[in-house]
Amino acid sequence: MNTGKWKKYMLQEDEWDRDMLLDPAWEQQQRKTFTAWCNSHLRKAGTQIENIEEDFRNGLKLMLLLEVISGERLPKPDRGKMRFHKIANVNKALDFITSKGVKLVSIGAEEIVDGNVKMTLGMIWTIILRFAIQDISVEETSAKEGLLLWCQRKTAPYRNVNVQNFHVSWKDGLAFCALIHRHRPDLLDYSKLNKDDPMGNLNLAFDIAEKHLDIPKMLDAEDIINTPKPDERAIMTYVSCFYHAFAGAEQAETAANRICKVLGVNQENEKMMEEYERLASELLEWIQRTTPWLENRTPEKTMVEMRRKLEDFRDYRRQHKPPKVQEKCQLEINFNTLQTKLRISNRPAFMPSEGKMVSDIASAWQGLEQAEKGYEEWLLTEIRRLERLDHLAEKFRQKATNHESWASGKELILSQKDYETATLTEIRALLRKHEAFESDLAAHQDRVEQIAAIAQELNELDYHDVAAVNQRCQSICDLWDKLGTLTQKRRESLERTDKLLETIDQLFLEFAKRSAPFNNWMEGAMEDLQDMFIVHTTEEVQSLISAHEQFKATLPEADVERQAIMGIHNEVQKISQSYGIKANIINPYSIITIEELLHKWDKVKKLVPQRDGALQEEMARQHAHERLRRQFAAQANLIGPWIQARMEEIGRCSLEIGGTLEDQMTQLKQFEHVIVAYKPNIDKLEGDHQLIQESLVFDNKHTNYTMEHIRVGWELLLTTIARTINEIETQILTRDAKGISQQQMNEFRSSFNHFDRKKNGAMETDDFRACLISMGYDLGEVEFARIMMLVDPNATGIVSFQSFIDFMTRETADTDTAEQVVASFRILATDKPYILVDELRRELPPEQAEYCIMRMPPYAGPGAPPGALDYTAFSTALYGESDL
Amino acid sequence: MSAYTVSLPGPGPWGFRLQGGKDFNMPLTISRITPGSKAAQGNLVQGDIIVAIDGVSTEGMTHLEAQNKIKMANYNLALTMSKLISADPVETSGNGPEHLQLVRNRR
Repeated sequence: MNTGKWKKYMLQEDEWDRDMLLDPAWEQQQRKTFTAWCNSHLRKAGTQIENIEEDFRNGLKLMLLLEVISGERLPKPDRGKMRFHKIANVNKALDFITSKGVKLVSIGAEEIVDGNVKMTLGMIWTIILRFAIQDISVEETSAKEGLLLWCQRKTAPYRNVNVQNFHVSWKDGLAFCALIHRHRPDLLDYSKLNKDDPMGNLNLAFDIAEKHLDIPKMLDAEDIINTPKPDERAIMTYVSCFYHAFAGAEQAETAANRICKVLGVNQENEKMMEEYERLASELLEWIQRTTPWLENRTPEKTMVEMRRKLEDFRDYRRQHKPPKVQEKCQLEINFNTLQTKLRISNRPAFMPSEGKMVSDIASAWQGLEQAEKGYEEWLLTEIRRLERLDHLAEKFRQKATNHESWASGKELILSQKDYETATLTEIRALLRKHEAFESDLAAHQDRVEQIAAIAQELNELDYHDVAAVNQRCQSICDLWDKLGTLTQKRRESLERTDKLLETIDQLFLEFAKRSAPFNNWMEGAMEDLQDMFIVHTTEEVQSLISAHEQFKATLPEADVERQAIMGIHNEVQKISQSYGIKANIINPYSIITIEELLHKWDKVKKLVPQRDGALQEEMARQHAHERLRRQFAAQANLIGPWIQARMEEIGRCSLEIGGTLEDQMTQLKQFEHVIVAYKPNIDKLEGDHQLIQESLVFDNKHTNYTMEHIRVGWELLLTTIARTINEIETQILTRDAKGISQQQMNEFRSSFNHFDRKKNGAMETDDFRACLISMGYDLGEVEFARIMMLVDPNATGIVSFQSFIDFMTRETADTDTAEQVVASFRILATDKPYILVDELRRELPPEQAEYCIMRMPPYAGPGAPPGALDYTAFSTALYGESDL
Repeated sequence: MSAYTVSLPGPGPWGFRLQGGKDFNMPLTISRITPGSKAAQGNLVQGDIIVAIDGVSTEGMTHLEAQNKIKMANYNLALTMSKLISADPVETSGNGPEHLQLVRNRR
């Protein structure tokens, strides 16, 4: 871009070239200004120019000027005075200018040597432009624009100054004053300046510049004021001096500052380097101290100690390391900053001393952090391990204690010999208890294993007190084994005892099963053998004897049984003795003891012969009885039939029809006599019977007749004969009383006999009924019943001959009887239907009369006097039949 | 025993024969009924027992007492009757010579 502007400027120069001659004012101003300017530089070389178009003609001052401005050496000037020496020198100058990048157009050495004012001014302007203005750079704006910008910037605070160009903006002089004031407020009081006094302002500015700023006057105040548009180049030149003066001062200041800065930076850098080195050393030293501590992996024994280590580590992390981290950070920052600073200030990079390089620090730090991490991990692992160990140790303790408390006393219990005195049920209970214990033991197996496992782990994890643990574990295991053995032994003992007791129990049961029936048999036998027998026949005795013999035959068998039972008992004894069973062995199934059995057996054995004897005795007695029986029987068998015969005789006799009642009587009396004469036989039989009874013989198979029978028969015979006689007597009386003829009697008798089906001298009801029917009685049931009541008032069910006769005789006279009595009373009552008391007393004996008076009901008929008695009713009442 | 009551309209005679009584050891019965009489019209049955006369029980009455009671009936005569039960012949214990039984003592 600069080149662009440069080009533009170059064009301007061309334009100026053509226009140049138009304004001589400008030429004038330029001459003054440029001369002053050249002199301001040349004075450093100790020379001046008077005339700008003249003094540069030989080129020597030109070259000098260039040397002063550039600070460089030009080639040695030619010292000749010839034109070509001058041209050569001017060319050297121009070449130099060209070598500085300025394209000199239309400016030649000849013109300058010839003193061409325009050319010379142009060339000076080119030099000014190139060496005073071109290098101005303000905010990236360079040359003219840069200078303008610089003026604008510097005069910006001054409201009444507005620099827009390098001509009219400067006319009032305020711009110059502002510039001065801006940089050196001590040189003028800007506030007192007046815009309307351009002359004053300008002159003031020029004076101050010359006096204080070492800027010779290059402009003329009058010229500026009077020229409507002052020469731009002149203004620019003069202003550039201000620039260089201030900027230079600034530059100097800046330079000084820069130097100070640089030096400061240097010092700073050096300090920083030192600091770095120091910090680095410290840090490294710290790292070197700390790292081994972090790498130490010596385990502690207890949690407490480890915890402390952890705490220390924590402290380290929270308190000791952070500052170090910061230090390192700082170190890094410092290093970076340093490096950056060095780089910025174009210095070589900082190389820390050996071992203190960034990489060293970094690697040391890394090492530290690794150690740290490792340490932390290790700490935690260790703590976990110790924790676990503590936990395990505690677990072990707990389990061991629990187990030990469970196991305590078990040894003793298992060693008990309680089974020696236990019964079968007790043994069973013990066995069950033992089973339970065994399962308990099995359950504890797990626990013992767990304890051992924990102990193992404690060993593996290197527990500090592992010796005690192992010891305890060992004792637990030993005891465990012991318990196992004892348990097994006890089981065996219990089972063995159980079997034995079981066997014994079975034997007892067997004993009970056999002893009970045997006992019963023996008791039965004893009873039988002692049995009080009542026998009445020899056969019975014989059968008893046979039975006894049979019984005796069973004795050997019984004895075998006895021995067997004995054997069982002995077996039990043997078992309990040989196996040392101390329990009280009682047979729970049987209350029968062996002693009892034996005792009874002996008794039985004794009783057998006793019974033999008894039976024999009895046999004898029975024979005796038999004799008695026969005796009795012989007699009874005679007497019985004899009585029977007599009875029959009597019966026959009473039934006979032929012959008179007297004849019957006579016969009966004869019978009676015979019978009475026979009594001694009865007495004798009684005697035999007594004997028999005294001998307690109650049966007699030799005769069907018992004594009672005979007695009864005898008495019956006696009563029969008496009764029969009585009957005949009664019949005789009846016959006589009723006037029944013998023939009638015989008829009655015949009928009676006929209907006496059973021929026992009495008619039964049916017989009688048949009899009545045959006699022509057409009887209804009622009537018959009535008749029955008459003939058999006692309801015996039989009709005797007497009753029969009574009935038969009554019937014929029945209807009259009551009437007869009534008729008799009538006679006494003199045909009255009633009878009077007096009449009764008069006609009848007193007793009968009173009887009638008492019993007779009063007569209720008409026309009867008081006291009349009804004899009809009374009469009928007598016979139990009244017509009402 | 089937009992029934008969009421005969009075006055007497009723036309029946009274038989029996405590003194004869026979129940009070009607031994005969006069045909066409009040007794016959009253459906009295010959042979039936008189249980009560005018509501009074005949138990223990003598013939005379019964006779008087009947005669005392003012107007109507109420007789409580009972059918005669045909008497079964009562088994006797037997007075005749019994068949001798051989009773053997069993051992």
